[in-house]
Amino acid sequence: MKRILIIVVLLLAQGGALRAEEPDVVSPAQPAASTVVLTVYGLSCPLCSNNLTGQLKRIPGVEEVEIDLNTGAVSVRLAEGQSVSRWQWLNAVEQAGFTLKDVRPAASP
Amino acid sequence: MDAATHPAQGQAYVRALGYAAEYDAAGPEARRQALELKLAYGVRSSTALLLESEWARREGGGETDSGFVRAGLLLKQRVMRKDLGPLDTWRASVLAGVDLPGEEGVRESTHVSPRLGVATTAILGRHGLNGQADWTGRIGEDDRFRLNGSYLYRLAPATYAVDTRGAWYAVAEWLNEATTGGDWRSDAAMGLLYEARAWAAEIGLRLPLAQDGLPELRQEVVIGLRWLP
Repeated sequence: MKRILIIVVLLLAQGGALRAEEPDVVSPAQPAASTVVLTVYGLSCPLCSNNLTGQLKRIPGVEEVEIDLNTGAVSVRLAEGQSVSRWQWLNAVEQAGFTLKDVRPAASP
Repeated sequence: MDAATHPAQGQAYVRALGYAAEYDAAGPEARRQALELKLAYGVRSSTALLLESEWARREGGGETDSGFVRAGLLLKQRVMRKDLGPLDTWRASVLAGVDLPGEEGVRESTHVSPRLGVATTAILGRHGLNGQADWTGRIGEDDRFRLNGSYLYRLAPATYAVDTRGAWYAVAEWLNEATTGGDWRSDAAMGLLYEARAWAAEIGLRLPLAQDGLPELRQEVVIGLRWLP
């Protein structure tokens, strides 16, 4: 019985750990970076990508958005000291009608 | 024709289309010029509110009529979105709403007419495909069905880059219309489309393939502009 209880406790703990990972989508703010690169799918055409630019520019701290339609790389320049959470990026991309695949700080020159 | 594209949440776009058509029949509509205005607003990312209105001037049989043809109020709901790559996507939307009758002499119906439709759009690299079907119910008149398809090919640039500001497309459309009274028409259209980041312009020529009952189209020129404020 004790063994079963231990197994149940371990399974519950494992489940909790998995749930704790789920909010990765709603994770804490990304490390402050002057430029963040999003990978976005479904951009389709120059006119469609304008929807994304409009949504991203509504996020406080976003100064400039540059989109490479061919690779789906969306470079977003942030105001100094500003950070944006992964959840905010995801929300903006979804509201624009596209799919967010990745968020990463821009590589240093 | 409509595509399964939506404005983003809280954003809008305006589309203006000008038509100039000539018909073989010496009826009340030998020539017709029309202006159609469409406003789409993103209520949510997957839900758009569409407002349409159309004015027309028609000549034929020695008479000229002009005025407000109809207004449309529609809700467009995206029901499927599969983003397959940076550019590639496949989407589908359903439309539901009403057409409101316009002024006597130019209007298509005297009653409020329900409308239902579906549209699907696929973009795969330089290729685009659209399919659209809709039904307009008319009280005391024949219902109308439309079934349209189009193919787009991106002429330039062959590959997008960060500094790409616009793209040219060749467009071919197959446009079909039928009524419950047995009238029908099948047309082909070809055109050019230029899409910039905040606006687009298009020009097209529509020619008849086959028709029975409906006014016999000789040709129609279409010029359009889209703008994202």
